[in-house]
Amino acid sequence: MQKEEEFIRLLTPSYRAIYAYARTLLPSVADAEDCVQETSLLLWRKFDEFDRSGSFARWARGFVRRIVKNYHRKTRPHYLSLDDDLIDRLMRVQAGSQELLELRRERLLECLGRLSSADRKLIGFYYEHGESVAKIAEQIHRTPAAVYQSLRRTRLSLFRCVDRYLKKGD
Amino acid sequence: MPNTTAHERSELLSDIEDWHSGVMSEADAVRFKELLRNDVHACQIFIEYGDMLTHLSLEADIAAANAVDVRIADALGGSQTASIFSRHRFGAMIALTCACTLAFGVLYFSRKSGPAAVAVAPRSVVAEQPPAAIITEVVSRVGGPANVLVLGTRLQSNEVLVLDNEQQFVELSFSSSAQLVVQGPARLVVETGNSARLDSGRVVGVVPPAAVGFLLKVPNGEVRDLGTEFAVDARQTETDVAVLTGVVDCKLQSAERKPARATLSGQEQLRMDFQSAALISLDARPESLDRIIVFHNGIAGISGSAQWLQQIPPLASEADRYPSSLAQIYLERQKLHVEWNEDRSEILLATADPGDKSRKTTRIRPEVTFKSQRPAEANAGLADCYFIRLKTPTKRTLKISGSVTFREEIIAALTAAETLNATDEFVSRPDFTADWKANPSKSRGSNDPEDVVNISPDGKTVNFTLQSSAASDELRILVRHRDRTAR
Repeated sequence: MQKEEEFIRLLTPSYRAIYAYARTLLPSVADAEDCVQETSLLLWRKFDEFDRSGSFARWARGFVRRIVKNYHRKTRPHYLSLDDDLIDRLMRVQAGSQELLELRRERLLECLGRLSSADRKLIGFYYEHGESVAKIAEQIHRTPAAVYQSLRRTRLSLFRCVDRYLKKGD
Repeated sequence: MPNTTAHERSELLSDIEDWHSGVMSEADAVRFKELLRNDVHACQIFIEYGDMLTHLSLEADIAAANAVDVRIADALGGSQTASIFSRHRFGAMIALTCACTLAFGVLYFSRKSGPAAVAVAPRSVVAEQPPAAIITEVVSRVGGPANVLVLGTRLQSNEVLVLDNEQQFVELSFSSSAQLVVQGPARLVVETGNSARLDSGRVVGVVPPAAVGFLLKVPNGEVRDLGTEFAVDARQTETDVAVLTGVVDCKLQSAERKPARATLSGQEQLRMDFQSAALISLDARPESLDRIIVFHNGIAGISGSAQWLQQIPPLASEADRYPSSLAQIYLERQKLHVEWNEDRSEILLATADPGDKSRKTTRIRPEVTFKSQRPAEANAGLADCYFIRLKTPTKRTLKISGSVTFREEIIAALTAAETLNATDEFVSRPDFTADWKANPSKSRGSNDPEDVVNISPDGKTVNFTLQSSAASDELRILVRHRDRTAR
């Protein structure tokens, strides 16, 4: 039990970072979730090898990086997959952007509040409740293609809104 | 991209969105990746966009973004609310892994031969596919209705478990390896391999590391487990949450205001009050959770003059403290290694394997001799150790009787005086100690000729009659270890 408690204590604060790596570098939520699950299990299995004097987050990052790379090698259509060098490059950029990313997250909530009621509901269905595009389309009596386009438009709109808040975009 | 135009930036964003959506053409993908390789600012925007998706998926309180219109589910109407909650945001821990599947399969087959049928629940016929959860234990002390679920039943997503009364317990093992014990009356929907919705009733959840993020939805709220043991009592207007060990996040939805959130850690509890939309801290664990927590601690049932104690009472050196007219039952230690040494007529209880520096041992030397015909390696096993103790007020004779039924099989019951340094008799299952067949399965206790202890034929219930005067009578019960965290 002690080992499990220690593992959980270390994993909990690193969980978001692990998820963020996976979600950023893998295109779909499902792929990211698979990757995070695989990473968690691997971390648990290898936990005895973790050097307690070191950083758990850094140790975990090594695993998720490896799993993401494997994922791109094995499961993505080749033309969409990212090669190892590009993944390393993106992860370095991500590691150096934490303060900016934190600022953006703070602004995102404000931007969510500025969305129209319909767009906010759509984003809520999709992200907060994890509903599929097909099911959302069924529930709101629209075509899946229309829902997909609305989600795309809303995400881009959110991103630009955050940009504007930070006075860095168009 | 400081030198890029708004148009170029817009195109880049569009590419990133297309890449995440998997709808990018091959030619565009080649161009896009080339841009990422050569332009660190493009990488920066790619990372920022991915982080926004992470935040939306994982943390952003979308519903709270506008205080007037927060209940996404309300838009669907009551009857459709269930379906809209069919997945959850932290699905990251949902997926089966090979290891989980394997462990799951082993568990399924190894436990299928347990007590036959019991309890409750209407169930639909579903196609054969990997189950979201499996029923790994069913305990019912009353007769079940016509619709029954049996041990080993595989539950798919969105199947409903209904228990009729409080004497019924069902343990579910989810594919993520999280476990839920459900006490009736209850209605629970298995949503995914790492989430469930408790419409009403009481549950205890055990979430091992591989299942961190397990989500239990309750009426108007949710409890997300971060690796722990926790208990929940969901009712129509309020839900109580108590953390036994570890940490959970609680979230209470409200139609009028921002969702209330709280993080609970070990031994903390709160009430989610739906009407006031408030999370109310509770000083003590709700009594309604007592029974299921006792079950969680390995006791399927207690009858007669006995009570469960969560805390270990003082030892016999404090003989005059905490006298009781009831036999007190408590779990002393979990996962003890039991070794039977026939040469020394000794039972060794160890906290770890030989060679482990943290190993501590307790030697028990029964006054009866025993001879095991079992091979040495078969004699070692893991046990959980319970005590049944009767402590009487000074100069008062008390005679009580009762029984305790355990969830796992009893290995041995040792009767003793006070601190068990002088164990003099014991009863045990014949199949654990071959020579015990020569001994009566019904044994007198240590302190008084009136003390009688025996074990039921199914090996799970110990019946006892204890008489004591100005002293303590004790029974040490060794029960096959129940691994609560690694199934």
